[in-house]
Amino acid sequence: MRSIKLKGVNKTIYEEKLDNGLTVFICKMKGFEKKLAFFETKYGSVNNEFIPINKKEFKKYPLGIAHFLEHKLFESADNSNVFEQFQNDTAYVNATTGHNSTNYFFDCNKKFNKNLKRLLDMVQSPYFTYENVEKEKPIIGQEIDMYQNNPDQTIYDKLYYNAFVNDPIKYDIAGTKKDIKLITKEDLYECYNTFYHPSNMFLTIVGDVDINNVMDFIKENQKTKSFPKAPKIINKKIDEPDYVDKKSEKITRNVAACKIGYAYKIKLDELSPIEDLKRSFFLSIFLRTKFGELTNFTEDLIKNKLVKSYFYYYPNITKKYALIVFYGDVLDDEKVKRLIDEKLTCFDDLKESFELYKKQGLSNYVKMFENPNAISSHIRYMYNKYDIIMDNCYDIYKNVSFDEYLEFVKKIDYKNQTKIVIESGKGK
Amino acid sequence: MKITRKKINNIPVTLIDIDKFKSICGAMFFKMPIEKEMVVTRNLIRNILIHSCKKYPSNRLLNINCLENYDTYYSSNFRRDGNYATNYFLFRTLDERYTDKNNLNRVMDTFYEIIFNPNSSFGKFDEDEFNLAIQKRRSNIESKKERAESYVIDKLYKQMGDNTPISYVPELEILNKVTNEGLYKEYLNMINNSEVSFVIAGKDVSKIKEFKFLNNVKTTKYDKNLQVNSKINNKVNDTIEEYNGLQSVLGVGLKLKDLTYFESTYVLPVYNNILGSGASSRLFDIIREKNSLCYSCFSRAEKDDNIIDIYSGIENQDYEKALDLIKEVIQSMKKITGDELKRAKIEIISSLKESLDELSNYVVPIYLNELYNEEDISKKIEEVKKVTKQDVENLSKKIYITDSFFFKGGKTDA
Repeated sequence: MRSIKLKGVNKTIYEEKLDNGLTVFICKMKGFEKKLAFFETKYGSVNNEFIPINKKEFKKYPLGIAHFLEHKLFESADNSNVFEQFQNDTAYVNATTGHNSTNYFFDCNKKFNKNLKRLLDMVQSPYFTYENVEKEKPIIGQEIDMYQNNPDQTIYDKLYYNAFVNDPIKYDIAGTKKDIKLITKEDLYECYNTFYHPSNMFLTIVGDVDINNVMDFIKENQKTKSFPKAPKIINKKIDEPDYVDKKSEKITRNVAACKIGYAYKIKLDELSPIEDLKRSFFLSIFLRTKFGELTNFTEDLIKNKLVKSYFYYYPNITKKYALIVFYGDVLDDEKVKRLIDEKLTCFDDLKESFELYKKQGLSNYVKMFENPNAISSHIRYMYNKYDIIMDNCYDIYKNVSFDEYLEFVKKIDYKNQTKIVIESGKGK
Repeated sequence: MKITRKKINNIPVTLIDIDKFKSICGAMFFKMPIEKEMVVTRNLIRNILIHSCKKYPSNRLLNINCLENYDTYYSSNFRRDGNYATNYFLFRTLDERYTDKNNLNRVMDTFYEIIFNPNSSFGKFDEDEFNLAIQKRRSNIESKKERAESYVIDKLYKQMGDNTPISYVPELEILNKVTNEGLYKEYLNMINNSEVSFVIAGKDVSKIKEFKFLNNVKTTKYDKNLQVNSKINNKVNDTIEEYNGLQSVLGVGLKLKDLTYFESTYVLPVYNNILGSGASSRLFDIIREKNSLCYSCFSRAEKDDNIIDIYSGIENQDYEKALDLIKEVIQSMKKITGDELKRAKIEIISSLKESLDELSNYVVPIYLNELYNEEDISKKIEEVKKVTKQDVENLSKKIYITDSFFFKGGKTDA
């Protein structure tokens, strides 16, 4: 077991890679009631074209299949109610699917090992039938409707869809009702067998647990199961151009006021984890400096009747791209867009806010260690993105310099843009 | 953990020494009997106060102060509990192990400025701040239908409320009557005529020598009954409203009658847990798992209002089937199993225990315990353990289905 001693916060994360390839992280939180476990595969909504295990050709799967699979792993051969079983042992269980990973988790305050065994066994014992697959389709259909019913979510989804050309990140994680109708149990098994091998998964545990006992328990549990040789995962290589798929789109919805979203698609060079972390930090600081709480940007827009009541911005940063999204109930499209562009390309007066946000970055990093959920998110973010847990985040935030920040923000190219307008109307 | 209670300037102060966190969190509460307009005015006041103050007359300046003080967090909140309205203000900052020695004093100074020195002059709030708050609130009300579930909650409460505080939901006709001068008077009413209390938690908080912001505050005592009891009609009031949205949302309202303190405090959460709180509840099992009608179907119990409300997003054509099934599930609650009782109690006790992992959960619940005259967490756990199958089945006989509201959508994009 390897110790990762985190600098600046007096905290250690323990890491071990098991014989079957599963990576385990444990962070002890003394005195906390809640114990959490996250069992995660590096398989998400973007992995929908790949060479399935034991096959030679690429196969394209219906969109939304990773999310569908997440739902179906809660089924068991004996038709027992897994939610009830967890609840009987003080645990709350759930799962989420992202673009690049699917995560099964529980929290509890008692019987941690028993719940952990249940989680590992549940995820590692798939049981798909024609009936249980068909039963799930209307349920997920309602989940899709629920999200699509929200106009702000529609803006966000459409901006992604129009910004990307080939990258499946453009599609909604859950797919559409039409996509999920095509999913079969055979599809689910193929996806499962390709991506749910322990070597493609990791387990994160946070809480007041006995580290050695839990690690031994996991090893014993994994030893009782046999897995084929780790498959070589070959995803279809995506050639994503820098330009956007569609520069603008207009739709009609039953909204109280017109809503507009803008997105800037920014290509990112491949960097080392430290440099990538710094880049994400810089981008976040820059956007907050221009549009965040240290500005009166939104208030001025409202006061000058350029937006009605709200205007948000959100940076989405992946390994290859950043998509900077702005949206609100915009009254004057042209002026708002011009103001955004002016802000993004003005580099005066950045110094003071840089120092304040640096200080905040350090405070936030310290505060994270009083919250088990925040620590687990940090570990999972690091490992999903970088395949390592950095021990020097505190020093990285402490030592970033204004000059390198300025150099980065001046280089950002904002030319690839897309826009979505939701006009007020009755729809069909 | 050590809890010290004392009175400063006649105001009840609770100091909770706990060292498992890295922060200190404090909250000041202003409680008084609710009036209909307060659901609008008190929300406007909370928005204005947290946005700027006299010392930091813009949101930008206030936020710079927060960042300078190690990213201190301030919040301003409003809640209605039964017949009472509470505005409360909260701060959270790193403790002195991670800051310079004067950080907490500076933070509490700003806390004082936010609450007691608003951005105002000549009996009015700053005009820009007032207009901004009004504009945001107006849009929020006007766009309610875009958030179908929130809209259904408001409509159902209005329908069930029968002019009691349950029916007090934010409406344009209230907002349209709000003037800057009137709102400032309401702020003074909050400051001068509330029942005030203060709670602080974190490392060594009992050693803090002075809470300056308590020196000039007046407090009043109110003894109005917390519980709201609205009229129960014999006939179920079913309403359908069409809208141009994608998903239809069904809300069902239940009323509770003649509950004892033990029933409303301890039996009701168990009943609600079995009925519709989570993935092992009856509603989730019947409506979602067995009939595939929805993604989520859940219930909430409001003990001070004596109501339970149920929500589910469904297809248009499933309205009658879903409503009938929900009614059947409620009827079926007259008999529960030992396993259901055990699971519900475990979940409630777990969530009580796990709430202690979050610092702010030491602060707000202390206020609520006093508001509801409830026991502390360890005693609550003991009381939950005492709930029997018979208690839950008896409670189900005091529950009546009174209302439903169907927000009928089913439209697609143009």
